[in-house]
Amino acid sequence: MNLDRRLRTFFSVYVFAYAFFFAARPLTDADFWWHLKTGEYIVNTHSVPTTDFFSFTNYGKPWVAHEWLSEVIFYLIYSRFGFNVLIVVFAILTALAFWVVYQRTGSHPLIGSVATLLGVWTVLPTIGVRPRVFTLLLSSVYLELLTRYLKRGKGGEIWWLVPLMAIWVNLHGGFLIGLVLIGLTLIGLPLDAWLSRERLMAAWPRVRILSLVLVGCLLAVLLNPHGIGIYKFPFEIFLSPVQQEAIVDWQSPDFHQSEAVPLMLLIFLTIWALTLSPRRVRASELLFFIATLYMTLKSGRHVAILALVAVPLLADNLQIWITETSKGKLFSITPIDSERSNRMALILSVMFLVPLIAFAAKLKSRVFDEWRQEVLKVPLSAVAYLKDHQITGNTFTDPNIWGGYVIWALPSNPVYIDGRIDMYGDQFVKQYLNIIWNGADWREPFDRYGVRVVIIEPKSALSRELLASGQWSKVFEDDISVVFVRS
Amino acid sequence: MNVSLKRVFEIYVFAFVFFLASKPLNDPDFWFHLKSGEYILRNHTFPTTDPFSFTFYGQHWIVHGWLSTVLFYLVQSRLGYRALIFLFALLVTLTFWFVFRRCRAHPFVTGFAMLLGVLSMSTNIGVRPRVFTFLLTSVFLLVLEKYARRGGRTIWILVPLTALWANLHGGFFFGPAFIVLAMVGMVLDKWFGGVKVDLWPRLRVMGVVVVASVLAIAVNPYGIEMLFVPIRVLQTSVYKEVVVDWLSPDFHRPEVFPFLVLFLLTTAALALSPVRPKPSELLFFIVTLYLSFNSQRNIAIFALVAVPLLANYAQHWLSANELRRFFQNSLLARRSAFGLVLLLPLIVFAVKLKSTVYGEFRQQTMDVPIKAVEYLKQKQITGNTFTDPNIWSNYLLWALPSNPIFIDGRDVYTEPFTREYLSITSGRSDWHEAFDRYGVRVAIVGPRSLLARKLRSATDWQEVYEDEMSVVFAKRT
Repeated sequence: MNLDRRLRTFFSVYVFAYAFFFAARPLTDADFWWHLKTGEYIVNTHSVPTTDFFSFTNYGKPWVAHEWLSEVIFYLIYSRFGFNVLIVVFAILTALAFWVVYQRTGSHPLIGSVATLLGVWTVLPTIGVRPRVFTLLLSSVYLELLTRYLKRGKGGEIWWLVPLMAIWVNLHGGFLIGLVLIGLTLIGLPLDAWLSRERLMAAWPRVRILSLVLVGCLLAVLLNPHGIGIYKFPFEIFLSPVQQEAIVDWQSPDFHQSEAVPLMLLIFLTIWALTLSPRRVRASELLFFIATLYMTLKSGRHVAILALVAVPLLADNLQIWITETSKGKLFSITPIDSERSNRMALILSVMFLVPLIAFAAKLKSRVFDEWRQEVLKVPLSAVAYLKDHQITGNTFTDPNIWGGYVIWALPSNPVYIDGRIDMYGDQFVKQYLNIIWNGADWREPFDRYGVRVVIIEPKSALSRELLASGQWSKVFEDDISVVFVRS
Repeated sequence: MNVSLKRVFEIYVFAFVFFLASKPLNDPDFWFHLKSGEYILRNHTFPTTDPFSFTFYGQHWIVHGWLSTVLFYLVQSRLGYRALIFLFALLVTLTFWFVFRRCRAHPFVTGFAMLLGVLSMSTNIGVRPRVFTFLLTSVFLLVLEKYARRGGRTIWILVPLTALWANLHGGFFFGPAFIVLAMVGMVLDKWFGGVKVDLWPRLRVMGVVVVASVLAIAVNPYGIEMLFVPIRVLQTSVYKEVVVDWLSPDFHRPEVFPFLVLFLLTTAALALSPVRPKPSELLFFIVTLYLSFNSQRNIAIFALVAVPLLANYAQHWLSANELRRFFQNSLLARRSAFGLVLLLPLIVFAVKLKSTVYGEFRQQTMDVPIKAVEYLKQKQITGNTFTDPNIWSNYLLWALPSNPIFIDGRDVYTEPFTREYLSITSGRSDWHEAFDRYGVRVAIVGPRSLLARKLRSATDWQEVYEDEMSVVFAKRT
């Protein structure tokens, strides 16, 4: 199989299309709903909230919506075009992030495409309509600019990192990743020079400029409603034992889950390609891979960054290994006559187009049409019941993230807790976990905070406790939730 | 580095391995192994039904790894617990001696890789039958590596070793699996690595060895049934959900950190080394990595595979770079400095070992409610006993035979029953009804557990004992 420019363009379009269809997913993130509500607040009041106004337990506590720009984007798109357009926009942003990655691969387009789509598949559990998709896209752009800088080291385009950082910090808390990527490049530059027997000082001019860019980015971070206080935020999360232990997102990946299969494939194949490739990897490339692999094994949510780093490494090294072992017969990247290339492009077009149609049909039925609570993972029916029967008052939910949906759909019911764990603080969250895990000591906090409504999972320990207490009546039950109201 | 200095250093490394491998008796499973050994030696028979619980009494149960349990009991009854700790630390050291034989690097590099390896295994070792699996894995890896290089007849030793393995620990299926993996590796090396040997005669011998090894598994008191034990365990999904050993590693935990470092450093060494690894080496690396990601109990197997890879390929990389000078000229290579630097931590270790491992057996270290059981024994409070966590019952089984148990750490219990137990302890089902149904008379639970709260408020149960680890309730008569 050979290629010319046209074949590469053709694959480029298909990678984008497939990445888009993979990434178009229903609104399964319960946090989405409080983001949307916050966006509504900001658009309506033209101000970023500085204290909590959703909960009854921590009402008035300092809270800055540091992802305010994402939230405004959520609300503006939703209010003008609806949920489906929001899904489409975020799928495009994800596809764009991986399209940029695909452009970094120097392999045969088929190998590049398969590696890129493996990358997309890997990140699926962590994306959707979420502010972190901006981190995915911006990390991809950062990596593109930093890789070019590592290879060529010229051009003023590296300065783009500074204004991009000013936007990033207002979009998502993952802006820290941008700073880490620059830091890794700063280590990688002298490391490459040293190991390639260059004089260490040869790397100095590039290190100096990149250090200035880093300082620029550190200053650009300050352009947010939180000011310098934003630097505290990521550390509060990293250093909070409750967040690190109790929130699935921050936990190590569970490799028993089927959704971790692509991650394992990506790790194993990249190690295979890196170690067997006749071309030895550059120290800076390895540094990026090892650092992001470390981050991912610590917290599964970082898989997105690992995918962006690993895909080009996998594609390029696999290409070299295949070329060597097949003696250039398979996936050759030397150009050939255009007639054969045209024929190949035609065959591949048909081959790739057919599943694309199937994907489009799936999108219609599974993403745009399906608004079932099992898919959205929030208690739609229970909340609808409460709304219909005008049952209002302080509302407790288990899991906590259902509170996010209550915030959006039931403004008359302030929540006990929601997905903003950082705002609630470790002490409060620990007490909450004790209630939901052990069904313990619920009476005192329920009385103290004046809980009136409880929406929880049907087979939980707390559900049994409430039923047995005689003070709570079960008013609604379905497959995913049960609603209790204080008698 | 001169030869005598090299030897001194190697002795130091093994001394460190030995110290790191000396663990207190903190595996609750130890107690049912000990009890099983006692049962076999006293009754001169191999149990086929459960004699210990009141819930599954008389149900089918076999003691896989019976030989380990007999060994446990023999050593414990004749020489005491401390001799067992010493013996198993020695077995781990022996395991690493076989690993050492696969390393061809500067002693410093090998020493570093070996210590990282033994640290990675630290949660998996101790006085446990699985140490035999590690030892035999190490032997298998050495024999298979030598066979791939030079051929020879030593490969046949794997057949009797598999038979021995099947009697020592349930991990025996690793034996034939490694041989098959080595066969695949040899084919890959020929296809992709350009190894020029006539494969067919070797593959044929290995094929026969695999078949003979699988047949050798049946050479045990339970015969062919032993072959199905691992399959049954792997099919029980509840183990993979709740038993820490079977879970994916939690990389937030400090004890997993050495594994993470070993994995990342080995990957870096393999990628950077100017000499490319063979596909067969990578195959073992990736397969055991996969097993470790799936269940952290396999980290030990991964470490045995990864340590020589790290040492050998880091050596290639160091030799090709300027770092080799560090080893040639460093202060560390001077005899006196060298001896002193390493002797001090060794002394500290020995002192620590005396106080923590060989010192007094405290319940916090051993993770079982020694004092509560002592109390029950003194007060002669007997009857069907429920514990939360279940593994405390392992100790009861040994120390309090008068109290049949509800559930313990053995694989005798069915999956629905295990789930019922979990729903009782987590409050998802009615504990009172279950206790009445099964005739539970005594409960030993954590002081802050859900059941402790429930039992305290139940009028027909009485709290009879409490300490910082456990609280004991007895049913009022």
